Amino acid sequence: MGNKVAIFSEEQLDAYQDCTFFTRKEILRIYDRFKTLSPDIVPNDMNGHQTHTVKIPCNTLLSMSEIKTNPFNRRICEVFSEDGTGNMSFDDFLDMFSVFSESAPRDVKAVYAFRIYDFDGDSHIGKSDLERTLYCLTQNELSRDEVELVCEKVFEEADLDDDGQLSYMEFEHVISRAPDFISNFHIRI
Amino acid sequence: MTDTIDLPLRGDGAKPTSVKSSHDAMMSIKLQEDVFPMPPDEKPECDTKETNFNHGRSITPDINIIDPDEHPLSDHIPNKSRNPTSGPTASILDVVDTKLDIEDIEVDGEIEDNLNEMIKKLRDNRDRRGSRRRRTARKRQLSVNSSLDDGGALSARTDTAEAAPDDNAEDAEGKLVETINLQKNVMAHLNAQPWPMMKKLKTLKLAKSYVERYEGKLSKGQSYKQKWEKFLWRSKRAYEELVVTVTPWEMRIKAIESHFGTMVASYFTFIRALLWSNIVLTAITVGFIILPECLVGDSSGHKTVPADERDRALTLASLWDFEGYLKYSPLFYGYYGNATFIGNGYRLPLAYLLAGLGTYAYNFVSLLRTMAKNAKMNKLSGKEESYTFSWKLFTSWDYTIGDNEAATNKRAAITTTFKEAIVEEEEKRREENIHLTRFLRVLANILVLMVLASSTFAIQIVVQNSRQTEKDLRDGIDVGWWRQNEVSTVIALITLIYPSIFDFIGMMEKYHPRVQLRWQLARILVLYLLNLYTLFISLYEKVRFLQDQDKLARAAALNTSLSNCTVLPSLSNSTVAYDNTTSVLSGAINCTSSVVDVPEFCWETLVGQEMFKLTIMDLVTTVGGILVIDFLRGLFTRYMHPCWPCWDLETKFPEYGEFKIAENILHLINNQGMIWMGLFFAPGLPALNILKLILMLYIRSWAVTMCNIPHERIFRASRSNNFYYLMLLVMLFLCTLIPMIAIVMLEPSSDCGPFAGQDLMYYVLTTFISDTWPLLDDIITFVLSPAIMFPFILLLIMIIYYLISLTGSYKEANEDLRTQLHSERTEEKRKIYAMVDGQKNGASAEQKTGNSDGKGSPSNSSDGFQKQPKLMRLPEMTAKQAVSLECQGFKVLSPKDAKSLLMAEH
Repeated sequence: MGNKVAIFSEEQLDAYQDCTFFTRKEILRIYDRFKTLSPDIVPNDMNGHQTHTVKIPCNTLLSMSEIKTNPFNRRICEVFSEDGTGNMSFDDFLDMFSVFSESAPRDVKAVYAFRIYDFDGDSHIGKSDLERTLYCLTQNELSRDEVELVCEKVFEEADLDDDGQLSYMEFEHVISRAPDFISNFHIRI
Repeated sequence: MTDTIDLPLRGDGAKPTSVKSSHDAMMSIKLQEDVFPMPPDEKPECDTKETNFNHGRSITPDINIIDPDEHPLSDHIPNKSRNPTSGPTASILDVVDTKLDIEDIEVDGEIEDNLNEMIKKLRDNRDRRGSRRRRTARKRQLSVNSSLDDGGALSARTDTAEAAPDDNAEDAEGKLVETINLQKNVMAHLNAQPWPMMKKLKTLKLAKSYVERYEGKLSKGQSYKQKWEKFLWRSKRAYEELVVTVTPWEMRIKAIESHFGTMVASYFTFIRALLWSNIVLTAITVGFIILPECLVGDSSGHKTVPADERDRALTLASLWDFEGYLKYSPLFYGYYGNATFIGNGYRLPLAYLLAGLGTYAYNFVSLLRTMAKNAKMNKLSGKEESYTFSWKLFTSWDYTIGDNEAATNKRAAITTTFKEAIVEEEEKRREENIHLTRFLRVLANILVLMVLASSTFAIQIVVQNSRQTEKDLRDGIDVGWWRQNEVSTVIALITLIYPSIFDFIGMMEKYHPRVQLRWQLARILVLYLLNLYTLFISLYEKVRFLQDQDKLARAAALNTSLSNCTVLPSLSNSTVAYDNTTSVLSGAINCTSSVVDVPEFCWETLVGQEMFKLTIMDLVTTVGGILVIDFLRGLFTRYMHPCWPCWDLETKFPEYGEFKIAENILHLINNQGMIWMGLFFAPGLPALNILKLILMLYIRSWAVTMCNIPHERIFRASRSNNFYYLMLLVMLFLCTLIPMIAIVMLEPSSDCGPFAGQDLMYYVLTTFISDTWPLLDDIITFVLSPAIMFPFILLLIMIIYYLISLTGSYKEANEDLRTQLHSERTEEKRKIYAMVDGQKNGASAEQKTGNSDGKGSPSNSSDGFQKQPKLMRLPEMTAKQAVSLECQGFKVLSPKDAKSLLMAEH
């Protein structure tokens, strides 16, 4: 690896390996990805606090090919950036790909999926969240009535306590049975 | 907010938590639920019916009573709004644990909490694993003054110091080891925590420093153990790195995935998986069979090209046909000699047999393991479609897609599925002309049968034709390319064309696309299997025929040589009359041996050759198909599109090719089946297959990215990958049958191969066993005798019967649970309605004092109330009465009633 090791200290790499689902090589690859996004901002030496102080602005992140076309891309950035603005440090970036990696367990993925779909951040997926999710997925293709019907159906299926919104428990209950969730909630780096 | 919903239920007037508790808080709530058992007096009356969801809600508010803002520790917490975990957790610590002692490790409070939280979670998980363990855990709790369990792992040292005088030193060390192990567990599970990186890093640092500090205090044995574990952990990590490093085509697959999504990429990962398995097969055959024979093998077996074939042994035609030099190479069965020992006592025939069996065993085991792993991943995803809309909404977007066109397509696809689902929901089922559809379906199946029959027939015909070809070839008549490759070409063409015919026939059946795809796949699988079996059976017949021919020819040759030889000696030695007969005999023997010295017919090699040819031809047709069907069509459509006057080329007739995942995967499975079938007769086959798969991977990936378009709609045969693995397993089983039959029932060629001279191939193994361990031989004979076999089979049948009935009962239990879940929902609703009813009629004061401070919490219940206000008909009742009555009432309610009630409500 030669010069690459100098980007992070051994200790850092070890710690990252413990905290994510990546190997050393993958972490360095993610760093490369991070650096190519904005070569001016990201320093070559990440030994100190740069990993969480140096941040790439949200708009630059949105142009990344992995999430460019994702309907929830802005939401993803917001959820994974530590301050909620959508600007991401390397730590956040690594975290994001760790959650989206193949080996991340369903539970973690479900937590973050919940956060992504919870647009207003009130820790419940309410009707407005559902509508926004649906809008992200289908744009203006569905009529007002159809949107209503879909939301109603979703609550009917998933809202076990009939409070008109989905708590994390209810969400997880549905998600854990979804066969596609693991394979779809996944970004390869 | 779920946290606050049932506060009115209990009516204890607990102060609701502040609204800003977010997801983190929810995670911690889950944890708390695990950690703190429910106090008995707090249990709702009908606790047997409570669901998990209920538990989570009814407990947590009690623990969270303390407002995070009032807690002293909360001042240290950075970013309170983002990480509200610290709030509730800190309050827990306040309530339950008062002696958090961290000595001189300096960290802020939040991180300790995280650590403790995780430790508790882990410990709880562990305790729940078995009742035995739980008991010991309880004992420990009682005996050690709950030193570990409420003190948190960080205080372990002080605890052990306290405990040391009471218990012996070993106990203390045991505890320390346990704490260290817990910390390690924390480290191991840290990556699965939904926390920001900073938090994880800090927690990690804390846990690490703890382990480092106290590991030194362990006794020698323990510290060696720790070191050993550390070493294991290191090597595991190195191994993981190695695996990632040697995983090829990751970027290529990623590129495809981002174009076409997970499903198409799964085809390529499937190729890669097959490739690995073939590499192992090659390693086994090369290591145990090919290398030993090449290095130290003797001269028996067909190792050199006979003189009469030598002049055309290197021509392209014969190489293409796997004749000439290739036929006499280690690729084929005939190459191997039948000497019991080669080199320094290597039993090659035995190795050949065992390696053959070993490869099949390996395949079975690895396939089953993959399937088991996949099955575990998929949890409970049955065929229940009760979450159609939720799944569509939350899990249908494929996050891997990174390509604009694919994203547009995916959007369109999702919209379509939504619309379909809506339409389906609106008018459940509307059969149009059921008679016509039935008629068409029957007709379609008849057509399919006819097509299958034609395929079998065609293969039989070409194999029969090839008998004549074989004879002509031997006589040195030039037969031309077509006749030589008739069999493989016809089979490859059938493999290429027939699936499309099935597709065409399937269209008139008007099934739901998913059902249609399943039929299609089943038909193709049958076709492939039928082809392989027909091929093998007709090849076997051909072999018999040729062997008979050989026998006849040899007999004739013997006759002629006899007559020749008798003439020669009688001419030379006419005077020695009494010696005549013996010399005639010896002469005859000499003559015959010289005449029949031509290598004898070797049917195993012939089968192997056929498999080789088939594999190659299959590759050629696949590549040709890609070029013509995908590439040329794509070129034509692309460049003719602007100047085509009549219709839209890109959307109407030729279009661009679509990547048919299911058919292509099936094709791979078929290919692998051929390899398995031929493996025993041609040890070089997997090596060829490696090349083929690599080539396929490159060509396919090129074609997919160059000339195919993403799907408009994808219907899968199955929701899980296991469907394909299951087909592979079926294929493997059926393909293993043929070599097995050959091993135990067919007579091997008498002149070539490692089993020459044996009556049956497996005798090599039995003689080896009886030679080496006579006792084992006796045991095997005894075990295989009817006296053992009959009871054994009976036992197996009994076990199978038992398992089947067990599965049935599980299924029933599953159904019951599902019904129960529905009833739970009903009960939940009834409670709320009754609650509101009661509140409205009798105890509205409670609502005012207890819960009307925020608009959020009671609005839900009143929501339900507005919908169905009179459902419960429970006027003039307090909340508690209503609930208890409901519980009693519910107990007598049958699931059916509950269901209908549920329906009525909707």
